[in-house]
Amino acid sequence: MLLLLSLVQLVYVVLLAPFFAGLLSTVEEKLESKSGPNILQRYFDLVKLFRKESVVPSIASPFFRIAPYATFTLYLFLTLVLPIITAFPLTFGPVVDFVGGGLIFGAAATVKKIAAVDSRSNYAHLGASRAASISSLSEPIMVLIFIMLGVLSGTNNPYIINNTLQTSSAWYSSLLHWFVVGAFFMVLLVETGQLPIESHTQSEFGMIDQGMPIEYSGPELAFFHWGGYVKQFLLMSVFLNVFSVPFWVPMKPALVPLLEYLAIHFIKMTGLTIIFALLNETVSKYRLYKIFDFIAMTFAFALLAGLAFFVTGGDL
Amino acid sequence: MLPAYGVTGFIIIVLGLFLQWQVYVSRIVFTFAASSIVIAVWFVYQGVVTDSFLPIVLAVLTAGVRGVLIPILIVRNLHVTPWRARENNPVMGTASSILLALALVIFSLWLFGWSIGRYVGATGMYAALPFAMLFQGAFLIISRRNAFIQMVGYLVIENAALLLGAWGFPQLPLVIEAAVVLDLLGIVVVARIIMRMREESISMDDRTAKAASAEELRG
Amino acid sequence: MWVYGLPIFCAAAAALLSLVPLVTFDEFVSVTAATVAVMSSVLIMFMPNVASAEIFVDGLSKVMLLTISVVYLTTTAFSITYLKYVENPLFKKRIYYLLLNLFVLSMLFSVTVANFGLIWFAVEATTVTSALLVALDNNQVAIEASWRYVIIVSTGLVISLLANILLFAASGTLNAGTFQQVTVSGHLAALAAALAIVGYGTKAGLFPLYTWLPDVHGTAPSPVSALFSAVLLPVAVFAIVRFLGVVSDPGPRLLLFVLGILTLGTAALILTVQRDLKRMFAYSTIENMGTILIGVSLGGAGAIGAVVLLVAHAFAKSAVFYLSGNILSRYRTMRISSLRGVRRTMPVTGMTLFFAALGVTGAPPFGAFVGEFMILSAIYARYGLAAAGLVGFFIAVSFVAVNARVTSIVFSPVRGERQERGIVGVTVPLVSTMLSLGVIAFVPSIGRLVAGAFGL
Repeated sequence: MLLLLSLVQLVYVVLLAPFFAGLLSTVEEKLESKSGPNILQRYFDLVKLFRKESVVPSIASPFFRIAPYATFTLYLFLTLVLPIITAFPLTFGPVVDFVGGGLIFGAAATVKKIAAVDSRSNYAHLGASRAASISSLSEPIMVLIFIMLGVLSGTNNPYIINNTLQTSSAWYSSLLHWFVVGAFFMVLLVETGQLPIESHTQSEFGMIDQGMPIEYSGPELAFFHWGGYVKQFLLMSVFLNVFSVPFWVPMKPALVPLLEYLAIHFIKMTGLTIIFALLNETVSKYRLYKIFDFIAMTFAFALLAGLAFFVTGGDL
Repeated sequence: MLPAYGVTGFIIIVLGLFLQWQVYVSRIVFTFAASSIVIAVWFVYQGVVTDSFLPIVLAVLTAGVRGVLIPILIVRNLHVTPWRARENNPVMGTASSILLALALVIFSLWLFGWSIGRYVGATGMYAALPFAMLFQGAFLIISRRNAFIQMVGYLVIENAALLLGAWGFPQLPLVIEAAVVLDLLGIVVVARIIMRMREESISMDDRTAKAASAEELRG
Repeated sequence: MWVYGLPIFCAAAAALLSLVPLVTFDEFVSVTAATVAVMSSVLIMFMPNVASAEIFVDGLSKVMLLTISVVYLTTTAFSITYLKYVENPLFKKRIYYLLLNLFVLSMLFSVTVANFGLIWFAVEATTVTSALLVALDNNQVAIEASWRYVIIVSTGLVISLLANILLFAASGTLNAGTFQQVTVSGHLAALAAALAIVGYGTKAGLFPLYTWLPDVHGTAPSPVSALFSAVLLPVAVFAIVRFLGVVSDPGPRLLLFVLGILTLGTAALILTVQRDLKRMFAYSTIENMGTILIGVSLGGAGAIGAVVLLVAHAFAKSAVFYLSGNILSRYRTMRISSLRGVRRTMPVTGMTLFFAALGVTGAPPFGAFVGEFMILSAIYARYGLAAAGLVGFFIAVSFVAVNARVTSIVFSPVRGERQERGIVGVTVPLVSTMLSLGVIAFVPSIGRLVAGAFGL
């Protein structure tokens, strides 16, 4: 049963990830009173890319060809261990805890950066160095957030954190929790490359995530993009399920609530996508060095969560 | 009752960190106005809960003077001197000042527990939050060269002293607090006048440095 | 009962009436009000102490009232002639008198009111009213000095606001009358007193926050400088004395003693390199305030010596600043190296300056000498020869520094045409200096009056 649910979760994530990426673009364009691309456009792009041939720089090592598949595999692995549609651990749930999940995200990002450096392209190097400096600061903040959540639930297990927040309204409404939500939202913006951190254009100013796969083409590029969509989907799901709206996630294996939750999760993701679209249309991109101010503020929020716990003396 | 203290206190601290984040003087002033209004809202809540009139008067006074009047006074003529509209030569970068302000918050919480914490009443550690704001305001004064931002820092200190008196020692007669609020208005008016005179009297090149190094003010 | 409020009422009335746009009405009104204030202060001397919910007048208050009123009178009188020599003033003469009267009003208010919180408020109000007075000269330097004054002193006063809050927390009251019967002790009270020392000490010119003092005194008009040195700083000292009288811990007194010595030492050393006349006298004020605060921290005979020094210093220093104003109006500079041969060009001013400088630095038989002597003996009795020797050394250094410069100004053989100031310009400083001399006659009565405030 759990194995079946794991497969269902895998298919759900992998199939729906491009949909939400497309939804984001379309909603943004609609907010600008344009008609915007088709919601399913990302699927069409992926299919198109699969049909093309891949061109590889002659200097690149074999690592260059492996990297997209490696990152995609790591993201697939993460879909099996994170709470996406269930609040109880599935078959592979116990393999990594929250910190481990964060580390695997980091591993995938590292593979991407090494591949970018391997491609010997200027823009790829640019993107890799910028991404490295930003993530060297935002990764520790993620660990700090997980530690704060550990205070909340006593463990590092995302499923138990979800259960605690669902059942205990005291914890849900505590200052610790809301500071952690704020901090993680800001980290989410950094990790998924939304404004004000990164814009979607290909100008040199914004070449952070856009720059790294610039030498890829064909199926490898398709897997990079797909992996990016899956990463975005996973992070948004984690934000929704573990941090901000942990309700209605089934805590016990029962078929009907699960099917209901598939629909509810879809609605939650749509809501978050619309929030992202609104944010992207309202804010403008930061100058590169101001991103570090943003990250400092994120760190402040995460630390204030701990201070809030200390000052309120464990009460809420 | 107690959660209100926690929420208000941490909103004030977060707004204080935002003060460190902002670069433009008008933004800083509006963030200060927002935190004054949050304090006023707390006083209204206090008045409603304890069923007394005086906190509400104080709330109106705070919101009116510090939330509206003083920001208007500061910002209104800012456009005349656009080179003063932001910190031009920062002493330290924004990210560093945010982190340093955060470290100051932690230090002040510890200092509070070590020194005054035993003597405050039922509110306990919550009074540490305005105490931390004192240091935030002082840090704002020390770390900036722009005169407007220094004045906002001074106002933040006064705000924090007001709140510390109200939270840590609730038996303090509110008349004192009202006197503090009004007195602030006098200071700000005088400071604005002097700043305007400063602008008019100094020539166009590097203003602060030249005046500060004036021969007569040495020794 | 209303007599106690009479000086305050006079100052307030003068402030309001100064706005009347008749030509010399503002001067007339101010001088009259000051005279009435002096007379009522003398009358109050003989009336009993009062400790009510609003007013608290004890011996120290009476002495302060009288000092403030007398300096009020001399300042308003001197302003009449001084203002003629100010080029390009920042505001009209009426506004000057308005602010002056309000300034004195807040100071008179602070020494009579009973609630510590209101004392704080009054001291804060003195900042507001005096800031613009400092900038009268309307040039870049004066405005910069005024700005520094406002910022530094306001920050210090916030610290003393905290001190008031903590004192309230420790004792449950802020009324000076209640404090007469009960003293407070404990960590919180000691912390409150320490914060009050630092906070009010900013206004009193205590180390290390006295940096605004030389700037302000160097550029403010002479009557305003006189008011600052003679009464504003003593009012801040008064606030510190009130706090120390309430708290019985020895810690804050020790802190005050150390800060006082540091103030005295740094001021004395900086005095040796001064080149500007008014700034030099500003540092002399800082040095005197340091000595006064040392006396206050010792209590007993030392505290009485401190009050004697305070009063004598008030009269002598105001005289000195008036004379500097006279010199400035003729020579148009304050650099000591440019001022020469004052005895020939302005004989009365010169000789009075010589004697007033002696009075300021504590030469016998001026009152300052008696005060300093009492303080030194108190130090000797409490801390031994080394401390007394150190303090005496610093006092001697400043004595030599100030008087060497003054003699070089007054007695240097440079010819120049005689351009003495008018009658008012010379009489007022002369009277002030005489008063500083005359203080010695009143030392025993000061001792009797003030003993109550220091718990003797």
